[in-house]
Amino acid sequence: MSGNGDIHILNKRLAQTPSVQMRDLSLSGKNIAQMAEVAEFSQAEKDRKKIIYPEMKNSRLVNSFRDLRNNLLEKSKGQNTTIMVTSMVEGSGGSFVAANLAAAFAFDGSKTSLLVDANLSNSSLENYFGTNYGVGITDFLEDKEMKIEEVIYSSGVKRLRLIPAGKHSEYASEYLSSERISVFVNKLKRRYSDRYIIFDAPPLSDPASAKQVMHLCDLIVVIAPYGSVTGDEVATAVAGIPKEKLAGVVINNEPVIRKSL
Amino acid sequence: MEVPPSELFKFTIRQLLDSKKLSALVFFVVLVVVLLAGSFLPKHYTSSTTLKLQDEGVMQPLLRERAVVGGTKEWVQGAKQIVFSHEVLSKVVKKSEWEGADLSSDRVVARLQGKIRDNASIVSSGKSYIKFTYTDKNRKRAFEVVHNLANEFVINLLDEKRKKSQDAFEFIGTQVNTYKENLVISEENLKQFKRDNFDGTITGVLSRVSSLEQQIEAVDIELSGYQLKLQSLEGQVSKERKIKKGADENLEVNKRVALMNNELDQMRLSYHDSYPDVIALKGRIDELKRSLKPSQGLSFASHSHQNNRSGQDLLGQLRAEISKIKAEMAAMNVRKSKLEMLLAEQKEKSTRLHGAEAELAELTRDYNVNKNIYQDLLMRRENARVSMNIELEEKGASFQIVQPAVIPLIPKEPPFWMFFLAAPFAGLLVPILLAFAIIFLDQKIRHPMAIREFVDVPVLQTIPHWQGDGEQVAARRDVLTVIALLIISASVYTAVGYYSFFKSGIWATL
Repeated sequence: MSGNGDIHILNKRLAQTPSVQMRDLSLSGKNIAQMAEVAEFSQAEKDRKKIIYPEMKNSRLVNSFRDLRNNLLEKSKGQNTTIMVTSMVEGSGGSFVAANLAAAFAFDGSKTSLLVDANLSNSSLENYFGTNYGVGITDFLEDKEMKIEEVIYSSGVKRLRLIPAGKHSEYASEYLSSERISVFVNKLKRRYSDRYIIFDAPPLSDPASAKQVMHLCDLIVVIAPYGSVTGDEVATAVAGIPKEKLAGVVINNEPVIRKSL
Repeated sequence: MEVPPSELFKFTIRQLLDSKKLSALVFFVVLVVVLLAGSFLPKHYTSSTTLKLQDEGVMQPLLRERAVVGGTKEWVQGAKQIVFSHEVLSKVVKKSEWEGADLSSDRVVARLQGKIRDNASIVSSGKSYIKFTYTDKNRKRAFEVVHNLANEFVINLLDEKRKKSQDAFEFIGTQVNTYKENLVISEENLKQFKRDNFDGTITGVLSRVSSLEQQIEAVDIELSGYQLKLQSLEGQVSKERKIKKGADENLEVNKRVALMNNELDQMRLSYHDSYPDVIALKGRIDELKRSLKPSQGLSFASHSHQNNRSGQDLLGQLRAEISKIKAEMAAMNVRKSKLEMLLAEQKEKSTRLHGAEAELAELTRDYNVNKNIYQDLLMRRENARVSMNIELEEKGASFQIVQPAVIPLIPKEPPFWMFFLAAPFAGLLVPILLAFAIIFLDQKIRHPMAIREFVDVPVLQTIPHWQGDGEQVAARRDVLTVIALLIISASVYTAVGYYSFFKSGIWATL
């Protein structure tokens, strides 16, 4: 696929989604740093939307995501990899961690990240990146003519791209079990060698949907909400995950003494 | 949850801050409750009296090991049984003052009895001391009840002791009589037996048996001597007879030979020697001569005429000797049978005496046992008599009031100022303890170690909470609420302190 084609299709999409403007997605991995970014969120907007940025005052929070990113980089052994972020239960902050993990990968000027909203039945990424995306993964899976570039959006965060759930999320499990999604993921992985793909996946409390995403990813990160689940529940939840894919557990939403005052 | 103690402390603080509004509310409530408790909790007054048991009275050293006087524990046990009996408690209830209580009602009296039973205690306080305690909301009643309890105890216990001593004496008296009867019966049985079995002892009989056996043995030896002698004599008689018979036969042959010789002589007178009859006669004479016994016979024959008379004498003597020996032997056999009869009798007697001896031992044992018990009981009866007399004359255990009951002035509960000082600490402590309990007991995940306890999976990171703008506003509101609650708490505390210590003048009394 040529870069001009990408621009053409994306411009068409941009016409449908005026709030998100995309100019150029045709750049190769070598000059990602120069990738054109438009309408990037201001720090205030990021604060409001709860998206981390390197300069933010809450260094502990930023560093915790940096550490998480580094841990995963270590586990991926330098390969571009697909990471599934799934919660133990609904409302554990899986989308928050997925979005900010993607943002943390994008901190590095030589890397990009792609956040895929695979939680089709209960998409919440729009809370972080806006609500006016058009077609998404479900549309791509539905429409065989559609090109992959048509569903990749600029997120408002430098070097972070986004694939929303799309408009056909009512048949979520059917889309996730289709063969076309495997093709879709392979294409994404091949597209940029230094791009990290993060799937915001359905929670493990919905095992059928979660397992469909599992087989698409290389590493799986499980989000355990602080003070809400027991060790037994964690053990039960991770029992269904293949060991070679399970990267580990992230305890989310630990209360902060100073800030809570 | 197994987490390091330092982390546990951090979690507790987090928990407290996480629920700061609730913590502040708990602080306020506890503060107020403690202050209210200090102000309005009913006061209880305790009155007590201590009695000393006069065990070591004048009589005790004199009666060492003769009369029984109980120890303190026994007294305390006895005191509880007496004092908490229905009868005594009824008296105590009626003697004490109960505002507005209708003491004519059995139900009311029973309830008050239960109250006394619940709030009174009797304990041994050191060696020989008994302490009566009673706690009541009414100071005067606390005094009255404990005073009456102690009085009733002394009166009833002494009565009880007297009765017990008397009962003990009477019981031992009955036992003495019973054993006396037994002893008399045993004695009579023994005497009767001795009367019935007066035919020697087993030792005498055994010695007699031995003597008889020796005599029989001697007779047997003598008999065997006579037997040998008899056999020898009979052998001699038989031999003499044979000799005499041979001599007689030779004499006859000789007589015939002489006759035949006469006949031969006659025939020779008429005939030659070659005449057949002569030859035949000679032959017959030779034959007869050959039939004569050999030399002995010949010698006997030659002497037979001389010794015939002496042979007759010898046989006669031998026969006389044999008859004499036989007579002796017959006498000895008679003696032996007599001795054997006597021996059998003695043996039978010895068997009988053995059985009698066992019976005698049993009777003697019965007699001895009854005698010992009877003597022991006699001694005990005397001890019991002394104890009873001591109790009757009130010279036994007595009591001295060491600490008399008084109307208590200070309540059992701590004073208000202690509640006042403790209130803020309690207010702080309760939420902290609650938070700690939640953290400690709650199995929810708060630390990576808590996950590792259950499953071997790496914990990649702990992401802190991100307080959004809206949350910050809410948090500020919460902080304001907490501050307001703390201000209210401080105001209440100050007001209560001011009223209690300055206005009511308690401060001056401290």
